[in-house]
Formats: sequence, C-alpha cells, structure tokens
Amino acid sequence: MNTDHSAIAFPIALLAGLAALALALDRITTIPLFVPGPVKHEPDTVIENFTALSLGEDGKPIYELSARKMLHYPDDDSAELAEARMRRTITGSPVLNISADRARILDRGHEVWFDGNVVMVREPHAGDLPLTVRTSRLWANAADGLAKSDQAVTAESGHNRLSAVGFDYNNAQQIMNLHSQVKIDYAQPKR
Amino acid sequence: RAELADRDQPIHVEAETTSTDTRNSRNVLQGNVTVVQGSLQMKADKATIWEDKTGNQYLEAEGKPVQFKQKLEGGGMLEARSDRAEYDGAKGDLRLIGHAYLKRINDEATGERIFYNAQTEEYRVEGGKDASGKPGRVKMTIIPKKNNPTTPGAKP
Repeated sequence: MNTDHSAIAFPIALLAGLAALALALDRITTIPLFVPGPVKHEPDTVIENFTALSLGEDGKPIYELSARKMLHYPDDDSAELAEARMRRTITGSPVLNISADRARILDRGHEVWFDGNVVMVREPHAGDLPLTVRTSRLWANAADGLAKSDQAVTAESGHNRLSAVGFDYNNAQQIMNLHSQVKIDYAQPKR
Repeated sequence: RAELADRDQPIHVEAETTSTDTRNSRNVLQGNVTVVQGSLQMKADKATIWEDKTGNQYLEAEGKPVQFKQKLEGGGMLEARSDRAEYDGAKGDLRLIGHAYLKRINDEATGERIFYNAQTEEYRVEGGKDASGKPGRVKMTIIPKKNNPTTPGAKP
C-alpha cells in the first residue's frame, strides 16, 4: 500500500521541485530592465583641419567645406565646425564663399548653419562686380546655392552699400531679396 | 538753376523691401520708398533703380502720387507730383507722367506730362489726350515777379 502512495507522490513532488527550481532560476536570471540614461551629446569624432568635398553626379566638385576643427555627434548625427569655410564652385554659377566663426551641419545634409562674423562673398562673374554680404547668422543650402538670414545684414557691391534686416539669396539666379528696413547708398557718379 | 551739385551727389534710398539683381545692381524697391540726392527728394510706393557703367543712376517710380521736391539755386522750392516719374541721373531729366503737376516758386503747371530738367530748372508741359481722344488741356499760372522799388530804373 505504501509503495503505491510513494509511487504516486514521487512524480508530484518531482514536478513541484522542478517548478520551484524554474521559479528560482527565473528570479535569479532576470536581466534588469535596461533603461537608457539620458544620451549624452558628446562627440565621437574630432578632426583637426577638416575638409570635405561634395561631388555632383558628373564627378565635378559642387562645394568644399573646411574648418580648423570638426566634432561629430552620434546622438543626432550632427557636426560642429570651428572657423568654418564653404566654397561653392558649381559650373554655371558664380563662385560663392561663406566663412564664419562656427558652423553646424545637421544629419549629413547639405544644409549648414553659420554663426558669428558671417561673411558671404559672391565672386565677380561675367563682368559684374563682387558682392560681399555680412551678418551674424546665416543658413545655407550648399548644394542648391541658397542662403538666408533673419538678422541685420549689410552688403557692398562696387561703391554702393546696402543694409536691411533679413534677406534671402539665390546664387544661380543672383537675386537677393532684402526683407525690411532697407537702406541703399549709391556712390557719386564718376563724371 | 537747381542746386548745381544735386546730380553729382550720392543717392540715399530707403524702402520696406527690395529685390536686387546682383548681376547689374538693379533694385526694385517697394513700400514707402524715399530717394534723396542732395536737395532733391522723391517719395513713391514703388521704384526701380539701376546704374550705367559710369555710375549714373536711373529711376522709374510709381505712386499715388509720386512726390518730388528740389531746392532751387536762387532760393525757393520746386515741387511736383504725378502718377509715374522717370529720372535720368546722367542728364538730370525728370519726366512726370499722368496727372502731372509742378510748382516752381509761385508758377504752377498741370498736364498729362511734364518734362523738367533738374539742372537747368526748365520744364515743358504736354496735354496728352483726354478720354475722348481730343488733345488734353495744359494749364499754367505764371505769377509775374514784383518790381523791387530799390532796383535801378524801377518806377515807384
């Protein structure tokens, strides 16, 4: 009779033991939920005397971006440049140069934010005069040759001087729109 | 003769907005446009200004109306207004077009077009055509200068 009871009880006891073991193992091996801490905006790449060249489909250079130092940030895939310079040399358009104390490139795009002592120079093209524009902050699309700012801006072309607040510029069309408070001083005619 | 130096002075322009073709420095100015060159002043709603190779400026302006003022060499003011105005900085020619009115010291003139030279201060008035196609009217009022009794030979 006894052997019957133990024959029945043994598997149940075995099962209970296994269940308890599984529970214990589960508790021991629970991987703590990984809660990512605040992602630090820290550079993963630092390059001194940085230069990057963007080529068109025809293999010809569209623009060159250079800086004394470039820092790349993996968290938002952005890059910050110190003493930044951009030179756009796409054929058919005048050469456009932009320089600034700092610049920022967002997600590997062609858009660049220039900041601090921004100087944009459109070199003479087909006999016209150079155009020099100065402002404190400028957005540029290096591929399309577009630039704009909402800040105070001054511009010089030959002897004439312009000032305004806010402007946009299209290098291919060579049209500059001044948005407000426009003042223009034309030099005396040469007689 | 107007301030001889006017057309040789730099031009200062102000406006609300401007679109500039940087290839030829052609500026299209809009909103409260004011143009000052020496004693010459112009106010318009819209103006287009460009230059020739020697730096002479040319201007086309529209307004409701375009207003024009200039100090005359011998003293006194010239005032003018019209729907449109064209200015040739090289010659000093100002063309007032549409409901043109000009007042030089005490003389007044109205017509469809008035041609005025800012250098010589001479002007010509044209009547143009009225609505029915007939020659338009020119109206001029010239106030004779009073004889100054102290002028030699003047009769009391």
